[in-house]
Amino acid sequence: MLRAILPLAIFAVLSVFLYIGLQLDPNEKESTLIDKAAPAFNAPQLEDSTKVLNEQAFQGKVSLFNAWASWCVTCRYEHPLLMQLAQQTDIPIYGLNYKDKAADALKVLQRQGNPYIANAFDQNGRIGMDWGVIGTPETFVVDQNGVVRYKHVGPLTVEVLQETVLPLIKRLRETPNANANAANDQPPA
Amino acid sequence: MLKKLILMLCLLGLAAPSLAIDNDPQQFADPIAEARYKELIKELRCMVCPNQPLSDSEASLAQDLRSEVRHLVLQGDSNTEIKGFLVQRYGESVLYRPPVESKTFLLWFGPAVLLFIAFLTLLYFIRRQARTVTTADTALSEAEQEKLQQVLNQHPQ
Repeated sequence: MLRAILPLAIFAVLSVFLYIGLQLDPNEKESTLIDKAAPAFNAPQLEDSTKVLNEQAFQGKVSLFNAWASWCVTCRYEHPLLMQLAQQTDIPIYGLNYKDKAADALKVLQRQGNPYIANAFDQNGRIGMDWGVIGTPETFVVDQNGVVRYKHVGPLTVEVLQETVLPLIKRLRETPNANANAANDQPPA
Repeated sequence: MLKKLILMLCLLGLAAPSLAIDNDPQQFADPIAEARYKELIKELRCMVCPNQPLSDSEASLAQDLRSEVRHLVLQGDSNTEIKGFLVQRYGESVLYRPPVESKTFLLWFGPAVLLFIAFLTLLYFIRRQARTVTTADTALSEAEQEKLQQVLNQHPQ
């Protein structure tokens, strides 16, 4: 009896594990920044290199911080959605222009529109490194206390916005005093 | 002669990938620091192409991280500090050799435990087999003995 059931049982257990394995995305990496203060940076702005952009810009409002580049094809695909967000909502979008040439980046913004309040010009990718950017596009949600709350890897989509990002922003806006310390009490997801 | 020369030139082309993938690396004056750097980039994962260490990857992020590691080594940071720098940014998956802690126990000791279970199972089956072989009922009965004798007698050598 055991002889017949044992292999079947082993197979069943294995199947369950393999099935779970199918649902996991090996490329999905946890961001180490969640619920931590936005990494400090100080970069010239893409649009006007005499001005600087730093992490202080995130203070006081829930914003999006979007890493992009003109050489990044997926970013171009994401661009119209950012435009729509900028036009139809009051969510401030900041850009991290990652390892790009200023002229190329400005050309893209001229041609496709500029959804960003300002862009940090990260020519050598050092700011991206501090933010743990692996590949553009990546989008961070930074709350009004300058704490990173969420990171989306890959292009934003309508589904991601509707199911995750927009509800999160709404929640963060409703609880302006949920400060960084309260968040740090919970283990990062 | 010409053919050989052409062949040699073609083969030389194959050696091209062995050239350094970093264009203009800052040189190490200290061979110990250089060895440390080479060791580190073998142990750190390229996050863009997760099955490659930093040392093998041509991804632009890997190039940046190599030069950052080089810079930190030259600056005199310890291996722990340099790994800490990367873990802080990219998470523990950047380490090819994750630290032994409660959430990595399964990863570290799982295979050994499975091997142990397999060994116990093997032992169980071997024992069972041995028991059945040595039991008395494998011996011939009296009738069988008689039959055997008969057959042997019929065919004398």
